[in-house]
Amino acid sequence: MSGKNRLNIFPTRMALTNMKSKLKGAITGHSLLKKKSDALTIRFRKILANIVENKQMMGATMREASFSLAAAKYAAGEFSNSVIENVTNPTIVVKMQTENVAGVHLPTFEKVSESAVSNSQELTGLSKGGQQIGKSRESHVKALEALIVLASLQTAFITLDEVIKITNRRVNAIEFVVKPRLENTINYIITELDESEREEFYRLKKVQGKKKKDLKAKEAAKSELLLQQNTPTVATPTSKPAHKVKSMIEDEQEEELIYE
Amino acid sequence: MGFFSTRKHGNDGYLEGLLRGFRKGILTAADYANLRQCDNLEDMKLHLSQTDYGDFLAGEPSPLHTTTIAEKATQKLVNEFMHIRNQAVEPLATFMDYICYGYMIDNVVLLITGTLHERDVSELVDKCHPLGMFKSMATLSVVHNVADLYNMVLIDTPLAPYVQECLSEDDLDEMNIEIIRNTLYKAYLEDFYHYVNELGGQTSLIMNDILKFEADRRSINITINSFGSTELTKDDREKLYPAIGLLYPEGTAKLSKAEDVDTVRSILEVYSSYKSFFSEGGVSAETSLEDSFFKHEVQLNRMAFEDQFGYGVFYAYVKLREQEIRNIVWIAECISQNMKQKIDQFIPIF
Amino acid sequence: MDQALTSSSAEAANYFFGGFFIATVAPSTWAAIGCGLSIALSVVGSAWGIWVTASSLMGAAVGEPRIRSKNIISIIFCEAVAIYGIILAIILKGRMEGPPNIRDPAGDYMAGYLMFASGITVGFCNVFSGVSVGIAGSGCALADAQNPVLFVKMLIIEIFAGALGLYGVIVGILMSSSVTLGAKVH
Repeated sequence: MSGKNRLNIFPTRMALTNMKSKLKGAITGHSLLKKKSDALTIRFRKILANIVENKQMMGATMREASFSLAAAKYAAGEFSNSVIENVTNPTIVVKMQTENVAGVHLPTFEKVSESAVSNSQELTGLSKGGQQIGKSRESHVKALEALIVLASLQTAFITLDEVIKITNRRVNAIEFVVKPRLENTINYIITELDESEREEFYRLKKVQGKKKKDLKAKEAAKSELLLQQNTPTVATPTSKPAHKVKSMIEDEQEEELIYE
Repeated sequence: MGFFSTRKHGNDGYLEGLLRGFRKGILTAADYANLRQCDNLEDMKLHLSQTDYGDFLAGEPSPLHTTTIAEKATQKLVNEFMHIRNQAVEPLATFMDYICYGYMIDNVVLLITGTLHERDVSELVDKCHPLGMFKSMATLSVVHNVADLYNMVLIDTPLAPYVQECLSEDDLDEMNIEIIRNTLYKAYLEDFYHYVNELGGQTSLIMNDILKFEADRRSINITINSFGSTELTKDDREKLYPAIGLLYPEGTAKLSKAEDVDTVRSILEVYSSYKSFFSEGGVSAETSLEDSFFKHEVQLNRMAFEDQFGYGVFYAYVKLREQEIRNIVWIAECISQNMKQKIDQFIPIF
Repeated sequence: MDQALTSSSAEAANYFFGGFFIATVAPSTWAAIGCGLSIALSVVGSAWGIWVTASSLMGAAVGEPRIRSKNIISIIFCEAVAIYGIILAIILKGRMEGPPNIRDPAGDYMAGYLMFASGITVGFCNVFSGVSVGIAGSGCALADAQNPVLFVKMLIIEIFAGALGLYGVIVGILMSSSVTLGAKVH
């Protein structure tokens, strides 16, 4: 948890601020995605219920349609060839439209042109079985409508299923990967900063002690020199602590490597 | 009757006996009862194999389809018919050819449709009814447009007189295909009617009834089926009524003016033989009108078998077998589609 | 005679329709024609019947081979009709006992006409009987093929049809039994 699951970042205050804003973003994103996923799931359930209902109805209408075809064939003989050869234009055309649900484009199919019955087919079975053919035609149109509804539901179902999976994956990714990592990083940065602060403090204390010591020594010397003459102090110790800090960081890093 | 018609019988008696042998193979009520009990098409196949159909479905791949059954059964009928046709001498041969013309009309119409829509005509030949094949079908491969079809094929068919009489080359392009079909059929029915009357004797006795009924049925059906149609005006409709039958000319004249089913019913009230058709069915059930037509047709055809020394039996046999095939397919459909409650709607023959 | 025929049509008509023609034909000719017609017409009837029956029988036997031997009976009934003709022809022949009696031709004329009439009676009776047996027989064959129960019933009808020929034979025998043509040479 500790070592790997954080961003490899230089622990500075700047980075901390960055991380914090990132975390905030992640939390907002998470809640948004969660809401989206919920919305989609509700829709999904609705479609599912619809599909079940439609499929059952579909079975009934399809059976009715194919049975009416059998009845028509009984009355009119084999007429399918003459119907097939007579086809010119499609009587029924399906148009695809999209519906937007929580940013997801769902395709829906719609039956558009229904020019009743095309003229060339109107008189099929004129001499016998016309009624049965007409009935069969009607029930097939009904079945076709059910089929179209079912098709758009089914496509929506598949699309939604996919989208919901992706969204859920994202939600989970944010919740279980991105957020902990960011939190870990923030914690790490905070600890590091605290650590370096403590070191700084300690060092300052040390420097202060040294300075005090030096001051005492200096005062002692001054007092001695007062006796003889005044002597100047050295300016070099300032560069020394900086050097030391740098080396300490390196040490820390080495420690990290060992943990790994 | 019969004294001089027995003269022809010397030639045709053998074939009549043969045909009555085939007729014995028509499924009986017991066979239908067996078929009704079947749970799937395999069962049906088993039951049918115990009847005259024998192993007509042998060698078919296992998931049987109703269309296969229909196809094979039709093939059997065609084989029987051709067996008799090939042995027939005049005038029975011509009579049997006349039976074929009805199917030929359907085939020709199919070919016209195919050509109009620029389909490959030679492919259409496979879809034609086997009873309606004609010799010039071989030349179909050279046909590319309607003019070719008219000038090279149709003129050579036995249907040529009907085609010439009723249609011009341009009509093929312009007229609705169903109207062409019915125009041809009308000419055919009238011609057939005159032919059987020329034959006279028992043939004309039996066939008159059958053909008159067929003509009346067409008239009534055309009337009812063209209600609400934009394509078929009343004048055109009248032209499709065959000029024979009980309804002709008074009834057909009235029918041509009819606007709805009720009018048709009131017109038919006068004709005692057709009166019952409507009263059975009631207003809504046009289906049962069709059914009563079928029933009556079966009845007439069955009567043909009560008679000897005429050619009516040859016609009746084909029609009865067709009805039987319809029955079998219906039962098969009911079984395969799990609609057993409707299985009894077929028309038993004997 | 030849001259009479050609010279005047009225005379010719008188010759034929006035019955003079009949009188001029020798009685033995009438007897012989009667004898011949009786068998010839019977054979026509019988053959016609067999023709009708057999063609149906053949066709029906294709579908139902069991009927073929049974229905030979129908053929035999038709055959019987020819036998009636033969019987009468033989009887008639038996009545022709010698050359015509020239001194007293009345009996010979009587015998000639009766023999002719009985030949015609039997002949035509048998034509129609044969045809009707044939039609019934053909129906019998077809009916038997459909339903074996019908065979015996149809057979009875056939017997009735066959009986018609028998009536002719009876009348024919009665007509010719009382006469003899010519006389044995005393």
